[in-house]
Amino acid sequence: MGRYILKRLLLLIPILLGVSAIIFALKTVTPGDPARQILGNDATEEQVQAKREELGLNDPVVVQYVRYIAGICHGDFGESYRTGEPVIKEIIPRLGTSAKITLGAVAIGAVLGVLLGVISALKKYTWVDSLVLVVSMFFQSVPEFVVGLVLIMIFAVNLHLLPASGIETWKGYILPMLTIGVSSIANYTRITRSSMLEVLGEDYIRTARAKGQTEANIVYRHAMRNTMIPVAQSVGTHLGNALGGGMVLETVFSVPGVGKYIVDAITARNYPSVLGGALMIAIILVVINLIVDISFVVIDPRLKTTIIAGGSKKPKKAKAA
Amino acid sequence: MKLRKIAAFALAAAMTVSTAFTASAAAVGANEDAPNTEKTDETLTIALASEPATLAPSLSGTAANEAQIVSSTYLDTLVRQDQNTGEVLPGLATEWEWIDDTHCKFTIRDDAKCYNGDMLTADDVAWCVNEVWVALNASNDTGMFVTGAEADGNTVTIEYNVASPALLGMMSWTNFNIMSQADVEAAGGIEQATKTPFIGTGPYRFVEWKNTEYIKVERNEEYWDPDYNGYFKEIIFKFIGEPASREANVESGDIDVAADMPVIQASAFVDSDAVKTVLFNYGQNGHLWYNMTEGHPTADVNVRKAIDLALDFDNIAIVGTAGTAPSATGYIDEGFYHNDTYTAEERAVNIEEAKALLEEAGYGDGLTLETTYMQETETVHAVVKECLRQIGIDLVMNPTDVPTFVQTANSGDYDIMMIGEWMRDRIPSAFPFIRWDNIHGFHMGGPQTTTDELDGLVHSFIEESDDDAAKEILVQIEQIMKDDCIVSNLYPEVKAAIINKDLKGFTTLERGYVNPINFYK
Repeated sequence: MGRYILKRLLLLIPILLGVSAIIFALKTVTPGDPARQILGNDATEEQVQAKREELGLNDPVVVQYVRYIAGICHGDFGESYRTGEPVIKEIIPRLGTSAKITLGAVAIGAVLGVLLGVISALKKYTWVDSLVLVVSMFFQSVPEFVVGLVLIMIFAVNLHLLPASGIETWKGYILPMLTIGVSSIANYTRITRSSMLEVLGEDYIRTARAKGQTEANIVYRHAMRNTMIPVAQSVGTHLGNALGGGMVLETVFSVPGVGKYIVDAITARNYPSVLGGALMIAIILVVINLIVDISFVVIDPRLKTTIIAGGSKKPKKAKAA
Repeated sequence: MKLRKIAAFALAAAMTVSTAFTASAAAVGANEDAPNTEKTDETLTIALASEPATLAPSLSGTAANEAQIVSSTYLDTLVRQDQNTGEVLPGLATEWEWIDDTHCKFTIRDDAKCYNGDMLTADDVAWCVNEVWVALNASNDTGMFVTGAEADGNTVTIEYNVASPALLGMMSWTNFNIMSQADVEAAGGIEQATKTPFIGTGPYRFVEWKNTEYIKVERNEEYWDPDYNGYFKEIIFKFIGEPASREANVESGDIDVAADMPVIQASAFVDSDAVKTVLFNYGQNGHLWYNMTEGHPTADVNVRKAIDLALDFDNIAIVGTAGTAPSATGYIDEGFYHNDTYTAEERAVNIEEAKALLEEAGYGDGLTLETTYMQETETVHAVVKECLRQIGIDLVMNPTDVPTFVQTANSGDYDIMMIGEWMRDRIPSAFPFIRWDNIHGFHMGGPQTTTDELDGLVHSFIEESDDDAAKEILVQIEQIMKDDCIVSNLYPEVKAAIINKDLKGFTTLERGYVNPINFYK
């Protein structure tokens, strides 16, 4: 297990190199000069050039890239062009905010999705089943920012129950969480439904029924645990997606998270902040995936071979009789 | 093809008609309400489109919009200017006197208290001019036209490097703010004061900047002006980039003012009972500039004139101003020095003549042109595109953000480009795109947009002390621009804000910046 974790952590290196290389490449083809952005439109060409020199932007891209990577090796993610503060110092508190919203959103999505999925499976091929699928698919189909604005209109503008933006109080977290959460319900519902149907068809469930167990006991004590394995897998994947994909929503709800930080940095051509934010998200995604994989092994030891050995262990050939 | 054309025109027509209808209802303007007379313990919340990078723009050598708005609450200026009449009023200077064309002597009031408790002196003002305006702002308006200052008793004489009757009024702009050296040092020095500006003599005082969340200022109970009453005890600035979200926040009551709303979006709320919409002209005409550099079809005057004839200026103005203003008939806004350079007949669409001019230019079979524009003018460009399609020009539209827009304008990588010029007076930076001193490398329209004659006229216009003579010079400038069709004058640009329906006192600073300190209920 230790070797596996180490191997996965070492995988971070090529991933981070890849992410940073892509962003550096994009930086070279993206129009808009950071030096001009910092100095303003009135700055002369000479002043812009001097600023570019100061920021090291006149060096070849490869030199800039190597310098950046060398900095990261020493824990230096660069300084924000906008504030002059170390990028890492600006990102850490924002990561906390984004993490709270992501966790809340995934919890909302998973709880509602599993509930609806179980109902759908138990009422399969009825109007209830169809209704659940249609509703959950609706939320998945509508873009998240539209869902966000509609929820603002309902809960903030009309009902005055929740704030339309900001996170000054705990109430401010609810709408962003709800928006991301409801968009993922369909995913959990589908997975739970198909997994539950599959499990309910297993021999041990038939045996339980034969032994006179109640339906509730069968569903919640016997079927549920095995149903949860693919759902747990999906939660892990969705955690990463929600963290990285919350950029638009953080802008809509004016949430000071890492997503809004990256969006603002892109607009300002604040490349150290864009890079720092993207690399942080990449690191977190890798770590989340690692934790999720390890948790599978804890939940279901049978998966140890598949996950830790990467499915590479060849099954022993049965000896010919 | 024909069907597509009809559909496109129908879309543009629907857009213009709906805009005109929504905007025809009563929208309040800026600078219309009587001044506030009372003080309360209430808090005003203003949503800005983005977070400023500095809270003391002159100390950072910049003049960015959001930073100007916020810092105007705690940093005073030497004079103030009535945004309706242009009249210059006392500020930190109680009186002033022009010694000659480039030297103005200001008498500094003795009752303005700095944040650190010291009284502001003429020496402080001289330090600010020399060490902040001039030393740190050579690249922008703040330092570009000022040589230095010298204090003498309670007066300070500022020397300018250019003569212009507008210089005094410019001293009311937020970027020409005043601070004392002791105040800046007490706040932790220049760099720290840009982040925690515990400086200034303004009607409010800085309290806190919680990065990415809000900036808070509170009423300065020791403000020197007895006639000023800050209704709100605190003002909080929040940053909400998405305009729809800014508007919803006003409707929900979470914020009071949504500044810098896109005009089209704001005009949809003119009839709303839940919020108040403010649409106002701020002295900037929008122009369509032609790239006259060799190799671009628009280098040919016949192509430029053909485009000008094909443009439906009335419909473009309806879309661009949400139906609040007619199209521009001159380069400068009607507020100041306006000339009716074009007659109604000259502004009328003439497709046949436009096609003939294109034919003459060798583009009888049509041509493709490219434009780069910012997202908020998307609808205007959609109408321009449709107008040009009528004469066989296919306009490739490249929407972009501010940094790319500026880079494109400076690099010349476009054929036509829309950009406005703010000109409420004969400021030293007037007509920036047709002046040799600005055209280092590329600039709007390219180096061919100007000539020695045009450049000379612009400088004379700025420096002329006699107003009537200046107007005569302006007529000549506009005639040359018209003859060569250097730009097409589109419409007076409109700014918009959505505010709490109970709020009054929407006033503006220069360039239409929302003034945070005069709101009341």
